[in-house]
Amino acid sequence: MHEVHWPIIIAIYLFLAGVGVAAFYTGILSNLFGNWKYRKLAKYGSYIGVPLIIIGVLLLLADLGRPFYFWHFLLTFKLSSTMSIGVWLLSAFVIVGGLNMLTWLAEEDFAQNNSLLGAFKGKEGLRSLTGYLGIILGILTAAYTGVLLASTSAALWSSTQYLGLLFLVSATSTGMAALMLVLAWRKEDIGIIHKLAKADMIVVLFEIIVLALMFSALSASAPAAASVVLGGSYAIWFWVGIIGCGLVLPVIIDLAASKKAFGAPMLASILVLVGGFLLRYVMLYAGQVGL
Amino acid sequence: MAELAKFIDVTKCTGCRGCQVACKQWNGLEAIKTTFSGSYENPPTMGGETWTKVRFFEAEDNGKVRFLFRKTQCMHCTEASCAAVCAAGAIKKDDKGMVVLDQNKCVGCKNCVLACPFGAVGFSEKTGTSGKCRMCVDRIDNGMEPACVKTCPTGAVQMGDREQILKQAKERIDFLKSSGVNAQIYGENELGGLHVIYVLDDKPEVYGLPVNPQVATANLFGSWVSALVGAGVMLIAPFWLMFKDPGKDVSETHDTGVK
Repeated sequence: MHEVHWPIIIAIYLFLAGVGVAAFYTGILSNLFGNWKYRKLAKYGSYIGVPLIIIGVLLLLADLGRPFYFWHFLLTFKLSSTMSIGVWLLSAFVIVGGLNMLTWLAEEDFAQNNSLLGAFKGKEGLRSLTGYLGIILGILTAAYTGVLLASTSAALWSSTQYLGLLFLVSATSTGMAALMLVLAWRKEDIGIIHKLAKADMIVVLFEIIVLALMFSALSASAPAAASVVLGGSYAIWFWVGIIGCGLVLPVIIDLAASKKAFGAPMLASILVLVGGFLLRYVMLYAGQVGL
Repeated sequence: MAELAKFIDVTKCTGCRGCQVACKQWNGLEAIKTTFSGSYENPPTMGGETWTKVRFFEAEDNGKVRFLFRKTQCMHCTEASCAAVCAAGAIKKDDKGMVVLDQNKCVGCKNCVLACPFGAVGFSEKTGTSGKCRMCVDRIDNGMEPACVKTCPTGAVQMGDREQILKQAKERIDFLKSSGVNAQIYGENELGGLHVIYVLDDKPEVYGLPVNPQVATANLFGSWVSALVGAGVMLIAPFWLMFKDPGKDVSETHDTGVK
């Protein structure tokens, strides 16, 4: 095993952060473009997104050499440091997303006698404001997870400008998958689930295009690094796990499945999530080969 | 204040590794467990407790093996990747061109370890922080040479004003060239000018040096632009296609998700 400076915990963080912010913004965007008919998507997106981001941030802190000095990050703001941008994006998202989640929680049955949550009841203005802000913060956060890797000297990460885009697209796809999974688990309206599945298919196609662009560029600018993923020790994970299970199979399942069953979209979304995690894992570890 | 630079003449290095020991002594760095890597080069990599080491290379010329040495450490780049990416404000460049890592401020995120184009920054499990050569700035401030310079028995490692060091390096290269050696300078212009200037007797690749090192943040702007342009296309298309309101007033039934 080669030396890794950013270990598996960082792959998990990159994955959870992507799923979290994307579940949040895909839920709100669906509701927004749907002329406010998809409130449930926005609500579940908020419920999925905020806890996942908090877990992700805790994982990030746990990986630090000195976790209890994390507040040193909060004394610095630096545009040249992608990590610094990320610290501030994550902090802002936790606050903004957290407020958004509170406005939803306040409507739940269990919150009716809770004076703290009651303060957030009927705050439609706050919900829209934090929703719009959260879309922007979420998209920037999803992109940052890729740009973070790009601002290093690892050839696989720094020889391409597509990594931020790739992680953003992949995050969006996994965020939608997480939403579908929750909707299917809660036996919500199957029509909405299939709409999401179709939207996810468009994103997956986009992701395949970005992957193709990225690796054709990498094969020219950093052939040795690209071959670690395409033909080397990570090739099986890449072709079978990421491309096969994570991208192609879900599309086939969505196309072939009956429009009534919950099983197919559930299976497809689990596969998308597994593929999304493997993408982070492979890119993170393959990038550190030979450092 | 005038910029300083370290001068390393590989043609004078005997690979004694006195500099490695002096560095550990002065900076209070731990000895680390190591493994045999096939040559006298040791330990295998730089790290948080190993801020300098002599790398050993074997090159072949007409069937004759040449045994080459190069002392490695932080290059104190003008365009320092580590300082650019540090999110804790722990790495600063001083007015003499030295790039200094303050371990009291370091949080241990290891971004600088991955950002350094020379692999010269390491992470120390002992301190929980990154560590790298700080050019013994405390010794310099007190009128002394860095520990590795002080200990080098052959004069292969020296310290001085950068202008003066460059002049000295070029004189040495002229001399080596006149005796038929393929001598080259490294560090004059790389990454805006390094503050470690090498005199090499072969191509930089032979000595494990990157020919055209790039600052880690070189792709930053392009990465953000491509991500955000893509974001526009990707986020609008699927949601607009799938969730747009067809225009008619849809009733609030159970299958629209609105109670």
